[in-house]
Amino acid sequence: MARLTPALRAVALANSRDRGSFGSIATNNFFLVTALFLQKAGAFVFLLLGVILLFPLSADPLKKLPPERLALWPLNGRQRRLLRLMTPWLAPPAWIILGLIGFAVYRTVTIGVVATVAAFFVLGFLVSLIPDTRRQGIFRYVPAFPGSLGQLSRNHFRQMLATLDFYAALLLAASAAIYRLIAPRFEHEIALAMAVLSLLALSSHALCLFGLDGPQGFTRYRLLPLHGWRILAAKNGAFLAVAVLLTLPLAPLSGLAGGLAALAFGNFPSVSEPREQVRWRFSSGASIGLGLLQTFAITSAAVLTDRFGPLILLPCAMALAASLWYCGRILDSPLSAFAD
Amino acid sequence: MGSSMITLRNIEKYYEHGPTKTFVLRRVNIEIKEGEFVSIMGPSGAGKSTLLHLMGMHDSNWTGEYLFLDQPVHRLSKKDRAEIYKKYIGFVFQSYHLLDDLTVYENLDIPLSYRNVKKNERESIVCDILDRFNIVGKKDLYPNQLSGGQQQLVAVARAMVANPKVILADEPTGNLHSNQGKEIMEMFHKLNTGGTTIIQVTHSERNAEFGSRTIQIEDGWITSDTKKATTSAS
Repeated sequence: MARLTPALRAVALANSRDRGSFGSIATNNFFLVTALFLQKAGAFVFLLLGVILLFPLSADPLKKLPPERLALWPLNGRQRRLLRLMTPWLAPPAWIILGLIGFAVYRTVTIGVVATVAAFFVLGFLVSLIPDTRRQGIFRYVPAFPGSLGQLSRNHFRQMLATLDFYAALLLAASAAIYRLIAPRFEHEIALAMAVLSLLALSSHALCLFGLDGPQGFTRYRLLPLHGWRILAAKNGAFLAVAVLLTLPLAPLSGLAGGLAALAFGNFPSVSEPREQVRWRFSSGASIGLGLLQTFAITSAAVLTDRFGPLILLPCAMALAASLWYCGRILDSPLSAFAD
Repeated sequence: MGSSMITLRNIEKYYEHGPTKTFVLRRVNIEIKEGEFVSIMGPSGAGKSTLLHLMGMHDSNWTGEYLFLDQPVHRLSKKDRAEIYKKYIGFVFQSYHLLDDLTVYENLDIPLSYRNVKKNERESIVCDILDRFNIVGKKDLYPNQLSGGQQQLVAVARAMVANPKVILADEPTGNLHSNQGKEIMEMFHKLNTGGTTIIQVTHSERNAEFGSRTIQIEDGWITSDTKKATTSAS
């Protein structure tokens, strides 16, 4: 046990540091809007956020340490097996399940709820055991976008697939679309509201378009022999494709208008203060004020398009074009220095 | 040796901090001919990378005259500079600068796609370059699935894919261990033998040995410019 304790402590430390990255949700538009405006009505959305967060939180804690490092620890076979058995308890969902079992004993929670949460935990744990390289392999099936910027758009589309924002938006849009198919009566307003919610789930990503390109990603793009507005346009194209695809079964025109508005607000913080993001986490927005403004713009654009038709797309497209022009110039500005 | 490729006359670059100017490059005069393999050396902060990025048209805040294949770069618009860059220059960076979410094949396709090369033609060019660089087996892998040396090999292949006249390399082996570095330098030597002009910034004497000419730079000044009679590649 004397050898096992420092090993367990190291795994716990690596995991607690990693859990800090979940804090990005605090400045996520979707979370903010739900907390500020939906309040009790947002219970469903909070449940959805909880389910999505459950997956990365359920990841095998041992995976936070490189296997080469683990192999160097002076542990015998029995100690390694013990470590294997003990480390899943460093994942918070394991304790949540234990708590739920306690509630189930007193019949305040049904066995079904406990089983569902446990199933999500096991699924998240098992998925994390699949090597990253194989999981990343699935993204290879993202088709090439047309045009000379197609590969850059494809790169960004794949990045979006590695954010939790996308899966929150997907769950919202898919559940509404399925409900639309099976429900005897589906109000148009519900479709619009769900389309707007899906867009809001995606919107924080529009505020940090270079966030998943790594520490040198921003410089890497600026060194391409392309105008800044074209680089942004490639990223915007991928975002719009996702926004339109998700809102297609609900309110596609409103989805497009909301997507244009999200980007018109998002391009500036993306280039003026690029913030690094972590894969498989929610995107963090720039500031609460900007997030709320963007939310207002998305909602207004989507609702107005629904009410007055495609004409509203014109001012949205013009706003995006203006932001592409202005932010493209920021990207085009000379780099301050090159390291010798 | 061929005709003049890059001519720099009286190039100066400085940063202004209030009333004071900090010079990074001072009265730089260089002529590089087609087919040369030039190594730019000097201590950290001497201005090597600044000079290289200036040649690569990543930087436009400088004074003096810059002729690239007899075209006056100093008088060209940003758009025209970008056209020259796209047509004639390939760049290799110390930190590879591959796009993380694109496979090796897709990374190699990028420089061709923004040059508006047709899809069929692009496919054959990329396949050819994969074959030349012996990385066919890696074409579906992502950069994070490759070693540093392999990533740099892909970066060199990417720089070569559009068949540039000159390759500018900024510390191309800086992040690699010696064997991987040697492999990259041998590839540069091979490309140079095939007619491509190579200009590299390096701290390594061993890497400079692969070149035919060494330019020393200190505090922004060119302090020496020596040519070798024959190129050695060991």
